[in-house]
Formats: sequence, C-alpha cells, structure tokens
Amino acid sequence: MDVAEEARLVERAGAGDLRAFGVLVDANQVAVRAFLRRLTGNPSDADDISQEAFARTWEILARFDGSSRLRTFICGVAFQFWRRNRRASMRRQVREEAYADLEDTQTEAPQHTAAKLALRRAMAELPEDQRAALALCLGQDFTHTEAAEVLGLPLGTVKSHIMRGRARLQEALGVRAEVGE
Amino acid sequence: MMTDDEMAGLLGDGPPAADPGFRFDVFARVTARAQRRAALQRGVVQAAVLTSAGAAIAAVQAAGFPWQEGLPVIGAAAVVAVGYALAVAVIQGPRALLDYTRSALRVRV
Repeated sequence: MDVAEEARLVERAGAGDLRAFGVLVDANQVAVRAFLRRLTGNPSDADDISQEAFARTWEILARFDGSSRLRTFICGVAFQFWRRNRRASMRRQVREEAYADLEDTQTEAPQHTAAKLALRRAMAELPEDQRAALALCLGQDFTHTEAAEVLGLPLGTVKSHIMRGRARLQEALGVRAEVGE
Repeated sequence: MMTDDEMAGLLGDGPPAADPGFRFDVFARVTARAQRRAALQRGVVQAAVLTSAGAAIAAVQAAGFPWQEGLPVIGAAAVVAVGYALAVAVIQGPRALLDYTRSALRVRV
C-alpha cells in the first residue's frame, strides 16, 4: 500500500469508516504481528497484544499525524502495551516461555532447536528497549529511523541498541561477536 | 556467523499473508472496548448524580430544614412515582417497567 492510499484510508477511518480501518488492519497486521512475535517469543501473546494495539489505534487515530507510516504508529502503541503487561506478569511469562520453548521445538531439527532456545533466552535477558529494537529491525521489516519513532528514542541510541543486542545474540549462539565502535 | 535474517526467522516471523480472522477479532475488541467505555461513563455519571443527591440532602439537614413541613410534598412525590410504576406495569407489562428503569439510569450528560 502506498503512502497516498494509506493517508486516504486513515482519513476515512478517522471519520468513523470501520471498513476503511479493516483495510488498514489487513495491510499492517503482518509487520505488527512479526514484530510482536519476535518481541514476546509467544505467537498467541503476540496476536493478543496486536489485536489490542489495533483496537486502541482505532480510538486514537486522530493522534496520527501522517509524518510516518501507520505501522510505525501501531507498533509504538503495541510496544507500550507489551511493556505495561510485561511488568505485571513477569513470573507467568517465564513459566509460559519455558512451555513454549518445549512446544515449538518438538517438531524441529535439533540444530535449529538449540539455536532457537539460545536466541529466545538471550532476547529475554536483554533490556526492553534493546529487545524491541532488535525485534523491529532484525528481519529488515523496519528501518532504524522507524524503530526510533516506534520506541521514542534517538536514532543513535537505536543503532547502538541494535549493534549491542546483535552482538549478544551472536554470543548466545556461540559465535565470538565483533562490536564495532 | 548467523545473519540477521536467519536470527529473525528463528525468533519468529509474521504470518505469510493477512488473516481475515484477525481483522474480525480486532473489530470484536473495538466493540468490547467501546461498550466498556460507555459502561464506565454511565457508572461515573450515576455515581455523581447519587452523590450529589446525598450531598443535597445532607446540606438541607445541616441547614436545619424541618422535615415535618416537607413530609406532605415528599409523600405526594412518592405516591405519584409508585402510581406511575403501577400504571406502566399494568398497561405495558412488567418488562416495560424494567426497560424504563434501565433507560432512566442511562443518564446522558
């Protein structure tokens, strides 16, 4: 979807056109759900937060000024939801991540299983902002500039988070990481 | 060394295409949130109205209003209210009385 089409749909959705908003949901759900799946490590939690984020976006669409893509705005809302919910349910998350690790890896090749578990544990240990920056940018879904907007951080900070976070993930995989300064 | 794309793939990917079911789930949440918001607003208004009524009665008492003089008016108002309720129940059935009560409690500001 190009920027002009998105702007037109946002204007109609802002006027109360739920059908236009549905088109925006379809256009942006893949990127938002991918971000949250990498952030949470749990597909059902990710979809739950995604749906809440889209529903909240419908309520506050007037705050979207069009200076960035809508998916950036929605991911910002989703990040805030995740951050609030994470602080309220840390212990439940640790327990469920352990079950999710077991469930997801039972049908996979052993080399992928070990790498996936190592990556998930490394991600869970990262600070929130670093974890979110990696979840946004690792799959090239979002640029560093978009990630800075989503997280409300300076661009330089985001780049630093990604560099350090990537190095920690590579260490978790047993690779000696090079941190360029 | 694993590439960023490989790490992203292991951490989790989005669905391969937009899921229409996801859209309907979003709509269901939009509706549920709107209903919760409306219910909260009604609750706040009802609490404000009842609190104001209680405060008014307390103020009247504090001002030394003699209840004996006001009893005929209060009694007449109570009789009218009961009579109205009975009339609605007889003419339109007991369920109509419940509906009127519900709509009366939905005080809109």
